[in-house]
Amino acid sequence: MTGVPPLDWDEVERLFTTALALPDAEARAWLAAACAGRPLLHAEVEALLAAHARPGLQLEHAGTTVVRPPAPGSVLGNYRLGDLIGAGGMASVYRGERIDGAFAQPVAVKVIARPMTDAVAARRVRAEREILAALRHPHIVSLLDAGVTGSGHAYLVMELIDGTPITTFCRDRRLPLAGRLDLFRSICSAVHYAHRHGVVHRDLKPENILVTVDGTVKVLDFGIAKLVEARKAPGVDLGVTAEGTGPFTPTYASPEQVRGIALTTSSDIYALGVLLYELVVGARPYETQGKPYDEVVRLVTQVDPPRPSARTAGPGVPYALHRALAGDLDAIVLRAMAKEPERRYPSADDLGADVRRHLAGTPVVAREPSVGYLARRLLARHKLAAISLAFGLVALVVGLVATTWQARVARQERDRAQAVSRFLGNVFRSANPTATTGPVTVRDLLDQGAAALEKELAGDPAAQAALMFVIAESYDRLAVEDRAAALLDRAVRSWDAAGDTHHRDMHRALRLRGRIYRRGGEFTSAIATLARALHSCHRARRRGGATGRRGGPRRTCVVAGAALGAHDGRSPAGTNPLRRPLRGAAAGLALSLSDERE
Amino acid sequence: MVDLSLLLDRWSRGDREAFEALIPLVYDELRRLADLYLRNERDGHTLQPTALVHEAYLRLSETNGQRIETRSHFFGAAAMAMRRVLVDHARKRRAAKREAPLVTSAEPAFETPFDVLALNDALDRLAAISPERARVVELRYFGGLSIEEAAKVLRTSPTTVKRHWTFARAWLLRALGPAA
Repeated sequence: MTGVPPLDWDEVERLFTTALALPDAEARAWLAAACAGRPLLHAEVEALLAAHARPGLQLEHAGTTVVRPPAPGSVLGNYRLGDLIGAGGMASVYRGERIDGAFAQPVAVKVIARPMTDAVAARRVRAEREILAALRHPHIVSLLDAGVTGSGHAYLVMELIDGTPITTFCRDRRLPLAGRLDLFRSICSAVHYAHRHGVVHRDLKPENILVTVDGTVKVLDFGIAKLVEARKAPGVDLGVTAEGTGPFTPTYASPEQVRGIALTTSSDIYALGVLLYELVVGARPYETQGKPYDEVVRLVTQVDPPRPSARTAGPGVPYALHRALAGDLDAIVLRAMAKEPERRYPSADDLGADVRRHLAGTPVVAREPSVGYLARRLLARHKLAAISLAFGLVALVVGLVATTWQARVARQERDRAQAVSRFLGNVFRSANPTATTGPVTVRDLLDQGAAALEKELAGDPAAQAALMFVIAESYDRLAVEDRAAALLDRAVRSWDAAGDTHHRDMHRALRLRGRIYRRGGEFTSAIATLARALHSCHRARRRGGATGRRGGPRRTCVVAGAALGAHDGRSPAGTNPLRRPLRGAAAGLALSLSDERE
Repeated sequence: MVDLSLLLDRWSRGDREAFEALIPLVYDELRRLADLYLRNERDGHTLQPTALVHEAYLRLSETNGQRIETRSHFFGAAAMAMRRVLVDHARKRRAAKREAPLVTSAEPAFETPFDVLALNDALDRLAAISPERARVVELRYFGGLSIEEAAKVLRTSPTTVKRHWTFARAWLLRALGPAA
C-alpha cells in the first residue's frame, strides 16, 4: 500500500457524475482522457459507472430514475402494442392485438413501469397470473395473459373495456342515489367473489372501477398492486411511501395500509367504504392531496371522517339527500371505514347485503347492536377498567357538586361542575352506538373523552387537569401507557399553568407518570418525575392541602426507590447523581410529615 | 422530564450533546413500534421503515403536545435509529436461525435482496472513506428523507446531496457485489 496515493473521493465523484451526464460513447473517451496516467482512478470511476448501469437498481429511491415505457408497435409475447391509452406513475396501458391471430378480441396491455430483475419476481408474476386468470365474474375484468419481457418489465393482458370511472359516470349521468347504490352492490359482489378466491384487490379506487355505456360495472386490476409491489425489496425499501408516492392511493388506503402493515380482505372493505362515501356524498372523506405524508397518516389512522349526512347538510345541497343519508347510510359507510379491521364488515358480501337492506327498508346490521348488548360486552371485556372509570368520574362530579352546595362559594366552582357534567354527558352521548359504528369499548370512551376534554374545558385548566388524570389512570389500567403518559404530561402542564401546583392529584399524577417511566426503563426520567411528585406532596402538606393519608407519599418513595435501584444497576456504584434531588425532596417531605404529627 | 422539542431545537442549532440524548429516545420509540407491528403481522408482510419513522414522529411529537418545528432534524435522528432497529432485528433473526433451526415460527421478516447486515457493513466502509456520503444514504434510505430534507439536515445544498447520493448508491451497489 506504499507509494499509492489514496483516491480523492471528491474527484472520483466529480468524474463519475460528469461521465453519467454524457452520452455513453463520449463518456468513455472523455473519462480516459481525464484519467490519463492514473489507472487506479480510472478503474474506480469505471467500476462505479458499471454498478450504476446495472439493471434493477435495488437501492433506488422512488422518483429518482425514469424508466421509459415500450414504444407503440413493440411486441410483448404474443401481443403487439397499439396506441398508448393510459399512463400513470406505475404502469402504461396500451391497446393491443394478438399477433398469431388466435383470437381477434382487442385487448388492453398493461406494462408495469419498473423493471423486475430477479427470477423470483418473474416466478411470482407467473404464479399470480394463474390465480388472476381463474377469476371469472361479470363485474371483473378478466386477465387473459401475463408475462415478463426480456428487459424485465411485467405486462398483463386484459379485456379492453370501453368505460368511464364510476365517479365520473355517476356525476355525468346525474345518477340518483338508488342507482348509485345498485352499482355499488355489483362492486361488492365482484370483490366478494375475488376474496373467496383468495385475491385481495389492494388498490380499489374509482379509476379502477369502470362503467360501460350500457351501465355495467367492471372492476379492473385485481391483485395487480401486489405484482407492482413484487418488484420492490420488501422491508427495507427506501422511499416506498416516503413522499406519499407509495403504491397505494392515499385517500383510499386503509389505516393498516398507510402504516405499511398486513393487508387483508378487510383493507378492501375499507376502500369500498371510501368509495361508497364518495358515491353518495360526491366528495372524498379526507382531503389528502398535497398534504405531507405524516399528516395523511394522522388523518387516516386517527381522525374519524365526518358522517356522509354531515357533509351534505350545507346550503346548496338538497335537504332530501341529507335526509336520505342520515341514519342507515351514515352507519354503513362508517362501519366499512372503521379504523380497526375487526370492526368493519366481515365480508364485502355483508356490506352489499346491508346496502340491499337499506334499499328494501329493512333494518341494517350496521346500526345494531342494542345499548344493553353493548353495555354487557363492555363490562365483560374490561370489567375493572370500566368500573373504576365510572367510579372515578362519579366521585369527581359528586366532589365538585358537594363543594358547591356546602360552601355556596364561588360561582366559578358551580360553573366548573356544570362544565364537567356537560363534558361527561357529551362523552357518553357520543359513545351511543347509534351515533357511531360498531360496539363501543372502554378504549373508545377514553379516546373520545380525552379528545373532547381538549375543547370542552379549555377555559378551566384545573378541572381539565383533574379529568385528564382520571382518564389517564384508566388508560394505564388498560395498559395503553403511551396515551396515559401523554395525558399525565398535559395534566401536569395544566396545573402548572393554573398555578395549582399544590393540587392533591398532582402528586398522584406525577407518581403514575414516574411509574410509567420506570416500567419503560427510563429511570432517569422516572426519578426526576418522582422527585417532583414528592416536592408537590410536600408543598400540598405545607399549605394544608387535603392529603389525609400518609400512604400516598410512602408509595411514591417506594416507586422512587425501585427506580433508583434499577438505575444504580446501570451506573457505577456510588456515582449516581440522581440521588441528591431525590434525597432533598424526601427530606422536605419527612419534615412536613413530622410537623403534622405534632 | 425529557423535552423532545428542546433537544431537537438545541440540536438544530448544532449542539452535538443534544443529538446524543435524542437518539436513544427515538430509538426506543421505533423499536417499540417495530416490535408491536412485527407481533401483529402475518407471514409474508413486511414493515416499511419509512412509514414507521413517520409514525414514530407523529407519536413523539404528539406526546410532546406540540408540533416539532424542526421536522427534518427529527427525521435525521430517526434515520440513524431506524438503521439500528433494522440491524438489531436482522442480527437477532440470524442468531435465532443458527441456534434453533427447527423452529419455524411465523415471525415475519425484513427480507431484502441483499440483507440489511451486508448493507450496514458496506455503509460502515463507505463512512470510513467518506462519512458525509454515508450519512446521505442513511438519511435517504433509512429515514426516507427527500433530497431537500437531507440537504437541510446536512446544512448543504440539494445539488451536493444529489451528487453524493448518486455516487454513494453506485459505490454501495458495487460493494454489495453483482446483483444477479
